[in-house]
Parts: sequence; structure tokens; C-alpha cells
Amino acid sequence: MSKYLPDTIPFLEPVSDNEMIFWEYCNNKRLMFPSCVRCGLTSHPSVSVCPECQSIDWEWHKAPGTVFLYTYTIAHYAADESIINNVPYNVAVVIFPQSDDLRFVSNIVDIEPEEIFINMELELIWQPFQDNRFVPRFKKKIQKGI
Amino acid sequence: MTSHANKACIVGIGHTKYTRWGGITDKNEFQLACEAIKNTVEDSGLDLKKIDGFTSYSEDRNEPILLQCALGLPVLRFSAMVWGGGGGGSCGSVALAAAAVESGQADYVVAFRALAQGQYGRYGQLDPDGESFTQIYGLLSPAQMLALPMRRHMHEYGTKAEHFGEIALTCRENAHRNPNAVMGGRPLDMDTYLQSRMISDPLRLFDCCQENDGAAAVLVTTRERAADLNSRPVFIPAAVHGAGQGYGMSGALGGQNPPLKEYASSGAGAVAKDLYNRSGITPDKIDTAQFYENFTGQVLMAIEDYGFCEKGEGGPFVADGNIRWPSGSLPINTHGGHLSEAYVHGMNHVIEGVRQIRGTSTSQVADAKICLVTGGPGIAPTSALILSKEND
Repeated sequence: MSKYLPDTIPFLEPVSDNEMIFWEYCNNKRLMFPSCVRCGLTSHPSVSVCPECQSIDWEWHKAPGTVFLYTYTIAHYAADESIINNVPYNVAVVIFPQSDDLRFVSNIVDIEPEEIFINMELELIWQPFQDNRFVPRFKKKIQKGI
Repeated sequence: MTSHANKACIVGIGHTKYTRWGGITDKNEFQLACEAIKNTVEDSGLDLKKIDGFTSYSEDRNEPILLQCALGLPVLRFSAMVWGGGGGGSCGSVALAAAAVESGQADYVVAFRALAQGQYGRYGQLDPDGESFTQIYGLLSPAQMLALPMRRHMHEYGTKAEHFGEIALTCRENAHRNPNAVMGGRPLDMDTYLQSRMISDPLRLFDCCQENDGAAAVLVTTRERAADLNSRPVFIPAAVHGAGQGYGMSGALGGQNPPLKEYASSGAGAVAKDLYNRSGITPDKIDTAQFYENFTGQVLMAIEDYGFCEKGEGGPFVADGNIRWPSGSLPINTHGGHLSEAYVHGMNHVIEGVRQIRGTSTSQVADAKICLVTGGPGIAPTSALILSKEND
């Protein structure tokens, strides 16, 4: 399976509960976000207390399936030596219209920089990372025929 | 209630030489901090031994208790810093100093920043304090993080590369007149700007602040105490720091957090509102502004957020020549800013603001009475202050 960025890219071991749970779900190829048990607000990255109602109880829900590109950049300068051979690469901020203010940083795979445009519809894919990890990334959604 | 005599003002400014990162090898960063502070106090005419407080921001490494020791100060009464990085607290450190002298907790407080990137690591590289949600996707440097709202602004409002370039060119022109400016004397035209290499599209090399070595400081005291000093005090109608709701994890400079409705902005909406409310000053009364640049796009968005044009009109505003010295309606970054003077985390912008009010800038705005200075954009908390010639 292909990898958009190499395994040597800095990956800080998750420290907070929120980070650990998130990546644990990813290891099973599940993109999940925490929602407040009391008021339902979905929050990522969570600050562990609900910004809406100050509850500290969270339950994890599957990310909404509809995903659009909100903004992106094409990195031409390698800010770390691990990715010297990977520039230019894209970094994308995606949004989930079914969840108000939720956004997620990722990459779009199998695409040339000039093919990327804001508001393009995307779909989730998984790529392996290091040992036993999986990373959620996105690719252009192929529209089904009428 | 603060009485008139107790209100804070700036009575001294000072700095070290500024160089490219790694350019200062004969002094360590702490020695640079002490040098900038000594120069600042000397500028005011005050006896160094009277300094009894220090403020800073962005996790400055030079601890007040050590500065007290090194400078031989008999007593330290106040030391504080603004949480958060990215230069967001530059003007906030002046606000802290003002709060200290106005409340009587200290008499003479120095707000300072010492930053030798050659000695402690460059900001344009991987941020070692990043987190697992962003680094794995290659979102590693400030340029990459702040290119994201720039791209969104281009999408929403039709902002063009030439608009960002106008900010870079303006700063460079002003730097040519400033002997302290690291990039002074190096011409920059629009073709060169547009052809400069992409760092993180849409952000080009000349959209980026420099990486430098240097230190800078200002001295804050009350109006009553200022009357005994040589220098003409520069008044501070308001100095604020903070953020609106929803900027957890530090805003755009954390990679993803500004609220979506404010995404294509500098994140200064709440601070700007507070600044104008507290000072009673409106944008049309401001003669010149020193906008903190990490990147040109953040300046363009800050021009909107601080009310000099409508939201989305930043591009046309700069294209119309408004930010140019001396003819524009709002000459900005008259020292050359971070893009072309030096990156001292915005303390050099505060110094330039004071120079404008004193009438001693190398790109002096005629009869400048009111100057806006802003702290790091795209980061939370951010900060800003207004400087005034008039003793209201």
C-alpha cells in the first residue's frame, strides 16, 4: 500500500487521552471524533471540557461521511529532513457539513497540486504508518454515474 | 479607578543590533537582553537601579530574576509574561507593564523580547512542540499553517498574489531608509517577488518574515514619574491582549482551530473591538500602523480586522497605495517590519510606534499623533496597543 508521506515524519507519541483514543480508533481504520454526552457538541481537537456546556463526559462517534475541502496549501519547502524527497506535497483542511464547526487536517492523495480546488468533495481512505498504525487521508470523490 | 497621573506611558526604547539568524556570535541571548534593556533605560534618562519590573511573552528564555541579578537591581517587584507563542503577546507585555505601574505594584517596568534564532533554533523549521494531529500530515512550520487562511481568503474574496506582494514591497521600501534594517539596500520589485520560490503555496519566500538575532525593549512608567525624565512620554490610550471564543490550541498557528466564521482572518476581531472601545479611538483617527508580520497575508487580514477597510477589501486597499509611505492614508511598518527590518517578535514594532509619535522615524509620517501597533496574528492570544502624542 502506498504512503503519501514517509514513516520517518515526526509523529509525536500521543499524550492526552483525546489523542490516544483518536489514534487507537485509527489503528482499526475508524475515523472517530469525540462528542459531548450532555449537549452533543463534536469537538476536535478536544480540550477535554465541552466548550458549550462544560461537561467532561465524551462519547466517540463515527465521522460524518460527507467531506469537503475547506482550504489547503502546497508545501514546496521541506521544513524537516524526513520529507526532503516528498515536496511538493499538499496539506488539506477538510470539513464535514453535517457537523457544524468540525474540521480536520489531512492530505489528499492521488492528485496533482493543480487539480485541487476548494469545496471539492472528498472521501476517506486509509494508509499504513510505521508498525500497526493507520492514518486517515482523503482522495477525490468519484461521482457515481446517473 | 486609575487617576490621570497614574496612567501608563512609554518613556524609553532600545535595542541591540539586528542580524540574520546566527549573525551574532560574540554575545549570548541573555547578554543581548541585558544590552537592549540598558539601552532602553539610558534612552529614558532613568537610573538603571530604579527598574523594578519586567514583562515579556512567547516563553522568553531570559528570566526576570536573572536579569535583576545581572543588572544589579536592588529590588524586583513585578515579573509576568503573556501565555502563548507566535509573538501574540508583544503588545500584551506592554499591557502587563502598564497594569503593573498603574496599580502601583511596580514603578518602572521594562517590556522586552530577546530572540537569537541562531543560538536556539530557527522558527521556520519543524516546531518541536507540535502535536500528533498535524505533524503526521506534514503540517510542520508556521509558513505552512498560516498559508491555510491565506488560501481561504483568496478563495472567498479574490485576493491575489500581487496584493500580498504589495505588503512585502512596502516593508522593503521603508527598510531602505532605516539603517537598523537587515534587508535595507536590497531592492525588491514585484517581478522579483512573484518569481521568488514558493515556500508553502500561496506563500512565497518574500511573504515570510526573516529569522534574526536581536533584542528590543521599552520602558513603561506612570505619567507622574515620566515628568522627571528627559524623554517626552508617549501615551498608551489602550493596550490589550486576548482572543474571541473558539481559538483553542492557539488558532491558525496550531493548524486548524480558528472558528470557521473567522477562518480567513488574522484572529484579532475581539482584540480590535476591545482596543477601540477602551481607547475611544476609531480607525479613521489613526495616522500610521505597525502591523506584526509573520506573513504578508496575515497583515492584509489584520488591516481588515482592525477596521481600516471592509472584510474582504484588504487586497484592493493595499493595491490602492494606502499603506505606502509617505502618501498613503495609512503608512504601515515604517521601520521595514519583520519582513525587512528584523524579526524581534514585534517588540521592534512597538519601538517604531514610539518613534513615530516622537517624530524620529526614518520614514516619519507627517504630524503623526496616533499609531496602532499589533501583536502576532493568526495566533491566540493576540494583542494590540494604541500610542498617542496627546496627553488626553
